[in-house]
Amino acid sequence: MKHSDSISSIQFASIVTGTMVGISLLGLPRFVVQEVGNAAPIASLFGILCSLVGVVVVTMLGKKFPKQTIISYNKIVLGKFLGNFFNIILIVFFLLLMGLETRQFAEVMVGALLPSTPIQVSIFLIIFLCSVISFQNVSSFAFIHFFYLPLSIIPLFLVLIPSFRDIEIYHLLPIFGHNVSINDFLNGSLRIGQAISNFLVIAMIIPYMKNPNKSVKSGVWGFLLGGLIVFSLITITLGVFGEVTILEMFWPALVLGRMVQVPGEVLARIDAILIISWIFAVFTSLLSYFFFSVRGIAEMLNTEKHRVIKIIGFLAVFCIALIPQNIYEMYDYILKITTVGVLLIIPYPLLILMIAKLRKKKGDTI
Amino acid sequence: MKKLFIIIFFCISSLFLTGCWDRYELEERANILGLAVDIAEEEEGNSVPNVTHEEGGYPGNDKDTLYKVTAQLAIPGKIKLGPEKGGEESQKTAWVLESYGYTMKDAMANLQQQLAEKIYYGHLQIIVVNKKIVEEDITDINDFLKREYEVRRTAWMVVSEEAASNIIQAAPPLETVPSLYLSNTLDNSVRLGKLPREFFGKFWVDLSDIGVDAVLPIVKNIDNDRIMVSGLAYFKGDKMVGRTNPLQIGQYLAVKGQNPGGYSVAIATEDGANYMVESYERNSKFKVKVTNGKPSAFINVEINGMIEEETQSNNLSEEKLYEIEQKLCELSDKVFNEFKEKLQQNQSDIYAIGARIRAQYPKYWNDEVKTDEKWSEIYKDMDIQIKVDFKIKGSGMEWK
Repeated sequence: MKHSDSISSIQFASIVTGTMVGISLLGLPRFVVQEVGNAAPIASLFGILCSLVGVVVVTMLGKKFPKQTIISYNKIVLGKFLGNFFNIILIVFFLLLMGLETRQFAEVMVGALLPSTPIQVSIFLIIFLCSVISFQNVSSFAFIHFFYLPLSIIPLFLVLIPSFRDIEIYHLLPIFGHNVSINDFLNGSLRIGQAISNFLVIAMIIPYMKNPNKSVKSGVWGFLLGGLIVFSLITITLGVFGEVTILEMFWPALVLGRMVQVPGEVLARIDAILIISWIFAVFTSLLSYFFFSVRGIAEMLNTEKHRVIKIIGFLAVFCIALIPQNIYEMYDYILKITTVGVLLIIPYPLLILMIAKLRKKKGDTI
Repeated sequence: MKKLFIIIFFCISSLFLTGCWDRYELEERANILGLAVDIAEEEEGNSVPNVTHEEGGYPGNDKDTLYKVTAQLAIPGKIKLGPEKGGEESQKTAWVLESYGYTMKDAMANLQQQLAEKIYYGHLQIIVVNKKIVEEDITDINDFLKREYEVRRTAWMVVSEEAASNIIQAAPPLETVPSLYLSNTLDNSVRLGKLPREFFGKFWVDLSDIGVDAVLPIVKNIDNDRIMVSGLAYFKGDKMVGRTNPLQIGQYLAVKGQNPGGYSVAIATEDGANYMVESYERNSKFKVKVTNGKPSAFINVEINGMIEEETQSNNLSEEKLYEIEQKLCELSDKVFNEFKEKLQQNQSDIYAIGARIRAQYPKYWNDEVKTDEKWSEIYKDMDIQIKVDFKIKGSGMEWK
């Protein structure tokens, strides 16, 4: 494959973080606490470590096939028919995920920011924004991620750090929760995996790196930064609210932002900043999903007509986003879809890696 | 032709601009600054319009409480920006309205029906609730406020023993926005160490937590132009069960270890001298234990103070200081434990001892206690000891 793109290691890491830190952050503490109660920090740590295996495997695959994306090496490793079958699953997964996450974004907008704005408009605009960006060139995609990353994570810490003084230790103890069975615990970790399964998008990017051999290291670093954000968000939210109050609300992290008082009272309300930075995070995540889907389809069909695919993808995502009838149903769908996502980030890449070893398949070296 | 096409394209694309749906100019909004919730008198009940329900009362309502909500609205044009000219009466910048309803939302919907502007809760500073309601059940009022995204979680909820509408009408002569002054009174009380940080968000957390009971400040109207924090209302579950005096707020803060300190306490020594000691730092350590299936708690409170005043004597010295410290320790040991016993009698666990036991002895909690009700029973008879260690660190500018 010929290309002139070259992505540096830092850009690569920021793509991992920028994709992970996304829409689900506002509601994530709730879903983890629902399963494991007080054990949420430990469960999320476990979930993050398990997903780390996924990152290492995906980047190792990238190292093995330094010139191919996941779409191509699927075909090489599994054969053309089976490979294409899994490619379709991957693409459909990302399209569905994008649709539902867009809907989640729009629900927050309607529920907490713009109640009179029709939900279709919020959905339309954010997808529209994603589709006007050119995917012809991978480095512009990387630049966007690199540019927005600080804008989306620095305000997050601005909210989290002043919240420290409201943490009650008795909200965090006992660290293994009350009567949490192994099953509950794994479910809680699974929720984390579901929220961050989207890092798989890097499998499309590794061949465009300056040096694909560095992908493992920078992928892990990017993942750890994203993991740190997820972990501290869950721990602090739990520490402030406690397991009972968290279950009363949809978006604990948003409420946390509404409760924070910045020392010196420079700003009366900090939640506006949180929302703005969260919109950046939403945008970068959705952009990653769309990037994966559009470029994936283009590569499968062996075409460069991204624009046509984008229009079709745009319509598909828009329709998917409008499927759920209400917010409860939406979260139902999201939990179901992302469970598949967890299969795609850990067991599936491992399988490919093993089959590749067994069949002694290898990509071209540089 | 191409130019025309571009112009048309831009015209059409402007249709996609958003933000306009939620546009409400400042003067189109009825900014609610303060709310007061009372229980309506019998004869007033006739004035409930059927805005949210049909004739014949609220559906599914068996308790038939009718709320009277008094709202303080800011009149946008009247609030002057920039320095105050003085002389203007603050009552004129705010508009006080009354509305009746069977629930909070019902009352607010009735209010909206009477107003030209859209009600906006984003600047809501304070909600005063009548003691009668708080003694019944506070959850019904809370739900609407939690659900409404405009309400700030840093606003205050306070309890009044007189009519709540009296409090909201307290209008200081020099302030342009009366409610702002009321909430500033509370905010600054926190800074002065006179009030716990129990604004909405914190209050709701304490209210729903297991093994913790909530507190709310009680306020009193003074001369119709200011308010005084006259104590804390403490809860058992969703109901208020008792109140404290102002100095006991200091005790609560000391046991919670919240800083900075703020309350002064008067103490007399053997030779008849009187001293006023102000606390400036408070620390506390909780030790909870479960032995043989019986929980117990030991709270060690450390207070650092300063001598602020000496009357009827003028011979302060190092020895004297130790004597005062000794007296203070004895006094506070006594009053802290008395107050604690009163809390136990009322089954109000505002020091979060239950939550601490639940956190440290989950097995005991899940086997023996399980629910909040059971915990109240155990809490009532459990052994709690408070030991206060008072230290005086300074005596101001005077040696003697």
